[in-house]
Amino acid sequence: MNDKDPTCVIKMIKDLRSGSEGYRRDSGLSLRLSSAGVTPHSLLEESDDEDVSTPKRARLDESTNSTLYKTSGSAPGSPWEWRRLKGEVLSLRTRLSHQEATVQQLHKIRREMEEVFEKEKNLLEVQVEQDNQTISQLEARLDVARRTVQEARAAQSAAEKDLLLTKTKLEQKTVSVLNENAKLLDDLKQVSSKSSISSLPKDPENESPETVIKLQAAEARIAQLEQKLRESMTSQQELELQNVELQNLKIKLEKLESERALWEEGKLMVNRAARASDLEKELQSAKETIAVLRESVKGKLLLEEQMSNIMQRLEHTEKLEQQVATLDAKRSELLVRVSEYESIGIGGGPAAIKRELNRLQQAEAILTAEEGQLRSKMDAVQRECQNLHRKYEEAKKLATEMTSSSERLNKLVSRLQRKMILVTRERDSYRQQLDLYEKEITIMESNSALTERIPALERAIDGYRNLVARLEADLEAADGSALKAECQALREKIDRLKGELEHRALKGDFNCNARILHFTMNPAAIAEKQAEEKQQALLREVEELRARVSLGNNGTAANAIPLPGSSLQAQEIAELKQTHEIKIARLKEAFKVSSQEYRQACYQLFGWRVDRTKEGEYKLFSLYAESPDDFLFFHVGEEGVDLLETAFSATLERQVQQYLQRQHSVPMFLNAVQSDLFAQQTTTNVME
Amino acid sequence: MTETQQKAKCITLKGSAELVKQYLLYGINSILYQRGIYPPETFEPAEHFGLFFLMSTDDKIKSFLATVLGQVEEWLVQKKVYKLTLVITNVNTKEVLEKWDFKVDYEAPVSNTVTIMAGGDSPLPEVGTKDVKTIQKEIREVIRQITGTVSFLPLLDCLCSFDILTYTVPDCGIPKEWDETQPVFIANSQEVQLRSFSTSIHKMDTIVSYKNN
Repeated sequence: MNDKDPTCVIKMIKDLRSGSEGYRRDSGLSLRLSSAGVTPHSLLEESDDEDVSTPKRARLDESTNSTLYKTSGSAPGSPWEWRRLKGEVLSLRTRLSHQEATVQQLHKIRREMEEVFEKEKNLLEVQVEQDNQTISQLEARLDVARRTVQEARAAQSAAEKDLLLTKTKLEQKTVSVLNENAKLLDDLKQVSSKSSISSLPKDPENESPETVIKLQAAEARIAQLEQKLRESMTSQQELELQNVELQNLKIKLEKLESERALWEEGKLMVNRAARASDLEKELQSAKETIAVLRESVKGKLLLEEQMSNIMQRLEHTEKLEQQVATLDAKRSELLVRVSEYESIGIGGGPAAIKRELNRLQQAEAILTAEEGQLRSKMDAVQRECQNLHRKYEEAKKLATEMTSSSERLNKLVSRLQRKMILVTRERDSYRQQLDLYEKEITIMESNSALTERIPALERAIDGYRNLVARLEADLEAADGSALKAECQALREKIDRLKGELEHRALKGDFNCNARILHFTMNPAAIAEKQAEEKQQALLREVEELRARVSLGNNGTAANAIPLPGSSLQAQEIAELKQTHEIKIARLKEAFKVSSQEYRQACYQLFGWRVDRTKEGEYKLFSLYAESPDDFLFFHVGEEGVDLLETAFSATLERQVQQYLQRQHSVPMFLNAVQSDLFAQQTTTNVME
Repeated sequence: MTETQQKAKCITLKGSAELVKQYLLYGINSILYQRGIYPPETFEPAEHFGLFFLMSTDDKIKSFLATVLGQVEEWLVQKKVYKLTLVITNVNTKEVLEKWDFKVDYEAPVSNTVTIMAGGDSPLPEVGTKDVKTIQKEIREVIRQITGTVSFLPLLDCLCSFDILTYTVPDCGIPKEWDETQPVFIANSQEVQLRSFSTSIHKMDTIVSYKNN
């Protein structure tokens, strides 16, 4: 912890805020990313709002939407379903509003938390200012102390100088005094020698008082000087003492200074410690609040998930309710039916019904069989009926023709009868005439009249004969047309039958008049016989082999008995199988090793370890990741590469925005992430 | 000289029967080869009527054909045979896959003058007026057609064998080693009528029936 720690809290708060925002944005982003391939279906109008406020929910909603979309793709048919859907929409809307309210509340809480943080921050800043003031005061005090120390030092130096001066002076004095003393001693010697000389040769008494006075003066002077010397000595001692004291004082001063510094430091430390504990507390509280916030966010997410779960369940339950309703309806129907059945008298449990049913089924089967028979019979009968019908039609036609011809004939007959009557009448008249003539002949017996009349009569007879012949021809003609038609029909029939016969002859259905002969030892018979023999032999062999197989299954000891060829073959097959198995195992091993190597190489070369969790889903671990939990999750599908949300990817908001959203380049995104991670790693290493 | 001329110009009943027999022999061999009923290496080419026919070298087939066709020739002379059928059957399922009908029509000789001239007491052999060369040409064309049928007949992709059925008059005696049998049918069959030829005594119609899948 250094002096910047008050801002640390602010930073932390900022981090928290940006983190939560980033999380939010990131999740929203991942949503957009994941739905980048597919056109997002915003069936509900609120889905856009939801995108911002509740990303997770939005994703879920989107999935439900997509399902909804799919189901609605088949267009709800009944108005009841419409109503149900509307109700669902309404309930969803209310739920949505509830959700939004909770979100709002959460936002409010967050804002309050931020306000509290702000207040705390202000308080901390004020404290920081106070601390700064105290620091400045202490610095001022320190300055004063320094100044006093300096002054003391200056005074000390001055005192030392004075001391030195006095010392030198005193030394000079002592020197001078010593010189004087020496001079005086010399003088004294001279004087004594002089006095002794003089006293001896001269009058010592004259001189003696003077010398005595002088001596006395000198002695006084000496005493004086000695006293001075003593005094100077004492002063010197005193000076020395003072020096020592000064030294002591200096040491003391230093000690005091160091003590003071230590004290100041201690004071600072104490202050800091006090502050640190406060800050730690704050930090703790901030962390707690962060934790609480995260918890609340998690709780929110959980609640959303629960919400979605509940919604799904609700849908499910609604479906179930529908089913229940339909089942109820069915049940009531069935009850009605059952009651009907009971009213009929088939009551007595399902067993009886089953028995009844079985009986009925059997009866039905019998009946169906009968029905089939009857149907076939009916078909046959129908066919017969059709044939008969056709024949009947033909007969009818014929009959109509016949009736028409008979009518014509009848007419003719009537005409002829009429003519016959006429003719008979005429004949009668002629007979009468003839009678008359005969009578006349008998009466008159005249030949001429007879000869005249006969040719006329013969002519008349000829005419009548002609008439009869014509009439007969007419009759015949009338009869002949019908016969001709019949003849024609018969001819056609004959032609048709001939054609059929020809066709049948072609097909081989020859007239059975022929006797069909063939050589008994024909190749086909021989080949058939051979084939049958072969088949028999094969069947026998199959039986043998089956027996052998059963033996072989029972025990390997029986293997010694069968044919050497088959066992040899079996052995060969076993060997082949073994070699193949070995080969497969080797291949597997080689594949494993090479794949491991490949993966390792990829990891070392590209810095990403790629794990394939599911089909199309890849987990990427970076070489420079801070923790093993930092991984990226990709879905590689036909429509492209989608980044799935992970805890790690939530922290890569910038890269995601830059490389995936703007530039749509997954490799560049990975490279950016890798380089960032590398930079982080290396900087931390350097810092360490 | 006159005899050769006579031979060149006319054809007797026996000669006609022999020609028919030869036609049947070559035709059956061609069918056996073309339809792959026997392996192709058991056939070798032989020239007849100015055309190369692949004849089987298998002794069994040769002896069988000789026996059957010898008998048929006899019946042809006696006018006892209506039709010959070459039946191709699947050996394993005994299913009839293909059927070659050789229908024989006995044409009334145009020139009855010979018999009339010879008198009623000893009926001389009937004589046709068609040139042998012409008949051979006709036979060649029919066999060429038989060879050409391979293009449309279905592939026989199983083990097959053949039999020859002769449709004779009811009062025909059954020779030794011969047997009476039933006619064969091909369900859902397709028929193709080939060219016919006539020796002016015998008229041969060739019809192939095959299973229509």
